[in-house]
Amino acid sequence: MTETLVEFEALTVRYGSRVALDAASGRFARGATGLLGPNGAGKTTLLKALLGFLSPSAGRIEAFGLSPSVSPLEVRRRIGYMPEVDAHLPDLTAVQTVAFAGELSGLPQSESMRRAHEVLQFVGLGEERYRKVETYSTGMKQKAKLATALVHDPEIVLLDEPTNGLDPAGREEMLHLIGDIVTLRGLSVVLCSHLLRDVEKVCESILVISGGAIRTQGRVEDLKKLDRDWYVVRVKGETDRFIAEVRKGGGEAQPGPDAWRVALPEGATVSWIFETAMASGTQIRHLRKAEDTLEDIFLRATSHAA
Amino acid sequence: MSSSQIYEQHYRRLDASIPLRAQRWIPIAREGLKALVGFRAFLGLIAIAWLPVFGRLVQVYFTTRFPEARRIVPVDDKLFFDFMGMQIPWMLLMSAYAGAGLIANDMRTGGLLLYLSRPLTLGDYILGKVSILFASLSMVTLIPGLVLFLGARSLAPDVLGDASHLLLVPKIIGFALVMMLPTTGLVLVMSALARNPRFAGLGFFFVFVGTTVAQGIAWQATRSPYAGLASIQACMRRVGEWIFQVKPTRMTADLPPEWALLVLVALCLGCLFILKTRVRAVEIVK
Repeated sequence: MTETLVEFEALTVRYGSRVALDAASGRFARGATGLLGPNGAGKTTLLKALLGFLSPSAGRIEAFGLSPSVSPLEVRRRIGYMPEVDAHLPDLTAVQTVAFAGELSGLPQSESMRRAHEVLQFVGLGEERYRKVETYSTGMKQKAKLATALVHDPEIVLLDEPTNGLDPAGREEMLHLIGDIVTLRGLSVVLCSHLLRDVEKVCESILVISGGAIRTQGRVEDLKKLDRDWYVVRVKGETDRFIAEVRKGGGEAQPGPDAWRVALPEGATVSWIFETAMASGTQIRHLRKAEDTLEDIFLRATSHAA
Repeated sequence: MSSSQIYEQHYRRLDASIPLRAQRWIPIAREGLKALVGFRAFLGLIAIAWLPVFGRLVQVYFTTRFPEARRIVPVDDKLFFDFMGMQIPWMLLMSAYAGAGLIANDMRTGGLLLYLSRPLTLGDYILGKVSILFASLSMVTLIPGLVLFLGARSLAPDVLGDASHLLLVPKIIGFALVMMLPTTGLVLVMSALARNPRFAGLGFFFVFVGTTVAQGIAWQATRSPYAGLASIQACMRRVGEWIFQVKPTRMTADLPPEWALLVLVALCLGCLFILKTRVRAVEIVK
């Protein structure tokens, strides 16, 4: 099992009488984890609790074995946070902003400036690092925020909607950078996003939050595996007869966007599909094992809350 | 040809973990002052605020050359009290210029998150901002006051040369603190309440001048010395009169200085409370 960096158990956070997180339990392991959930699900509240901005009303949250509400400085020293909203200092250039952020994290002044140049090169702002951040485009501001989150070499980076407002090319570049941080540099990442494709591209694990509770979590690969053997099937001939034959034989069939999904009856093997096709007078033209998509997982998880 | 980007080469991991800084507010103060010094208006304001020092030194020099003039313009505690009191307008201008944007800009641009998502406490952040303003205000109150003392002492050693006059140093420091602390608190509160530095500056002037107007109205209506408690400036001056042991003004002659001090202390505590409740990262992370 991968090393756990952040763990929370029965975590409850309230804003007055409103419960934002309701006995949520989960973990962020080393590597890239996607934090998925609809608006108002509790994603940002979880990040706030992790940064020590909010204290839990019940349950516990621990990062690197420390409680953020007891040792917030120690926890924040090891976390890089890239907020969704704009976060820059007026009249400072990118290199000044990033170096200042490094100093605030405890780096000595000279080392902080050196790291600022390095991370700005890394995120692709090397040529623009002497420009004031407020003159940057949205994509450049996102990159500057990423550089600010990375300057002190954190163990885990919290990225809140990092591809917001980016054009397709900028989005690809940002996702490439995030992937690079994880695979080549060995940092861990929590990617908070509502864009499933972004999460699927970068993260090996996900955590779906809805209605203040964790609905599902685990490795994307494992979650995509289905509890029964499902196949995507296209037939030549009368599809309705084939489907009727499947159901008669104890199988299950669901229409898909461009093909049917067929589940085998208990104990049957894949040859049963060919036998059924033969019996219905149709021919199999396409057959592959079916997998859930991240969208399926997300919709199933969030529909529980509804 | 490889499509890998050249910037991939530049990120490196740190070999050692970073220790937590003890004086975490220092980078905030340093960066803020560095930014202010870059503005000509800031330096110009300081330069103009120093002109009265030279005026007073000329006055002292004049009294050394014409001792009979001391009967009209004596070189005593009142000279320093008057000088410090006359620096109040410069202090207000400096507060509005240097202080109005200190928190407002951070809230407007999300810079507050840049601070509070780091290993910093709210106290570190506020202390850093207070230091910037405190240093700026010192440049137009405390430091000119001390320089005036040193200059006057060297120009008129027969008047200010004896050891008893060294007490003027703590008096100048004390009155400067009485002027700077509530002003710093008030301008930072205004900066935290308004996202626009201009509104913060205007709000600060409105409160500062407004309380003086309120004092005038209350005094006209009641003729009570306690009307002075309504004015921040009157309270500052009353405590200053007590520190320098000079004759109080007519409107506040019977106002106990302890009461005036209490009002200023309450103002400082109130400002601290508002800052603590207003400047919260949890409100910024939407």
